[in-house]
Amino acid sequence: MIRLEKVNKVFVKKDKEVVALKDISIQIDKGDIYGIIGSSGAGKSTLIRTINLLERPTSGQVIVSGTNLLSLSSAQLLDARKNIGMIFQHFNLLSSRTVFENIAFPIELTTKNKAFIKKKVEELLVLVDLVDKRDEYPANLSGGQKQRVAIARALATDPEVLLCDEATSALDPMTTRSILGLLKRINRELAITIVLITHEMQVIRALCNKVAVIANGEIIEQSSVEELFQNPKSAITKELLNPSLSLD
Amino acid sequence: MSEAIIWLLAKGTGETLLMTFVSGLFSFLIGLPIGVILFMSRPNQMLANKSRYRLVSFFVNVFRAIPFIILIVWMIPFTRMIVGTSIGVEAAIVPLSIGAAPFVARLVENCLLEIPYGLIEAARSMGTRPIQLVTKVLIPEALPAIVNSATLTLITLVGYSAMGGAVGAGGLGHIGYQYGYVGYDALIMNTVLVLLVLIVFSIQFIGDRVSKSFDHRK
Repeated sequence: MIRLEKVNKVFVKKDKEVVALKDISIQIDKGDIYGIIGSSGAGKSTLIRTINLLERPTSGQVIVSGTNLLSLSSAQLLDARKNIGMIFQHFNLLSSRTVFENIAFPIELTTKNKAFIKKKVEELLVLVDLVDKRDEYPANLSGGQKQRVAIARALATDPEVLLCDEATSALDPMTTRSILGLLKRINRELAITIVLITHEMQVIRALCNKVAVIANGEIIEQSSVEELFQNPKSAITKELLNPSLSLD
Repeated sequence: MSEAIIWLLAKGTGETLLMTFVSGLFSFLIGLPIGVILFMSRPNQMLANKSRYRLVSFFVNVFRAIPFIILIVWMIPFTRMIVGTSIGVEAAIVPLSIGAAPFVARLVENCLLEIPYGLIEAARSMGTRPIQLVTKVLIPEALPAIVNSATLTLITLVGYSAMGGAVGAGGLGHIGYQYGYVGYDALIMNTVLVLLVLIVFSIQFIGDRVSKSFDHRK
């Protein structure tokens, strides 16, 4: 489904080179919920953005659904992105649009067929349980409701892949649980492959089947979730597994 | 106040409003696309292009540097070409529009810079084309701020239009100068000032209302 091969990303800042990603190779299969965990600054944000080329790798290959995204023209890339939904930590809903209009946005980019848009959006409103908030503006929604609108919006073009960029990091534990439940349901019922990045091991445990640990721009461990919890190899993984905040 | 004077003031008010709103419209027709081009050409934006940004930015700065009263005279040949004359209200509208357009361009660029980058990133992740980004994301999201910029521009133009008197454009500013300042008729001068204040207050009041009606951010 998704294959990253020897992906490198180097940022140039004031003549200094900063290596953000180093020789990353990942294989994600259809139907996976693939978690990428790491602490702040580890490169996970950059990594998830290479999958839809919001960040262009300096070298390497990004293959999604059999297509090497780096070989596409910019017009072809725009189409390829419609197959890859994305949600964000801060939701990124358009403040000038209602819930309905936000979900309609990605469909409007390709069709003017109002009846089709209406039908599709109404299905999605049911899926994310926001039928009664249809005409509200995002400013009047709670964090969890905003993220559900964002999920519906990301699914509006029937993508095969959903990228989640710290999707629950701005939410309280109870809301987090309900969003994770929704993501799991989407994965099962719509057979959508999910890639998520997080700094919380609990999110990985609750949702994912496979996991990669990233530190300083490198993948240091890659396995199934059970394997990682039972038999963590690196010190960094052990650190991430221990969420206790005690200062000794 | 004689009937003739009242008639004169009414005509002056009409001319001022005409100059303000017509040149306001044209300055937006020119300035808005330039502001959008400036924004889209910035580093990290969809059509990032350093040399294009520098070139457009250079011309905007040049036109902003020219004092308006000099711009009127400097543009006379161009004005004549466009409206067929260099005297009168129509003739004043040309330099007023050209003078305000670069100001509008910078205001619009700044309005767009206020949009959180995450919104643009989300739109890009959905495969939004540059033109769709402008019409469906940038303009609607910045609309409350753009309306405020329009208010600011119109009020600036009320003041600038007074200088239109230099090309015989009339308007309240001209009456205030001619009858009030030169002829020292305190009544006319003060009436003109009151009328100008009323115009400015009305524009600000309406602008605030319209901006608020477009703002759903709370």
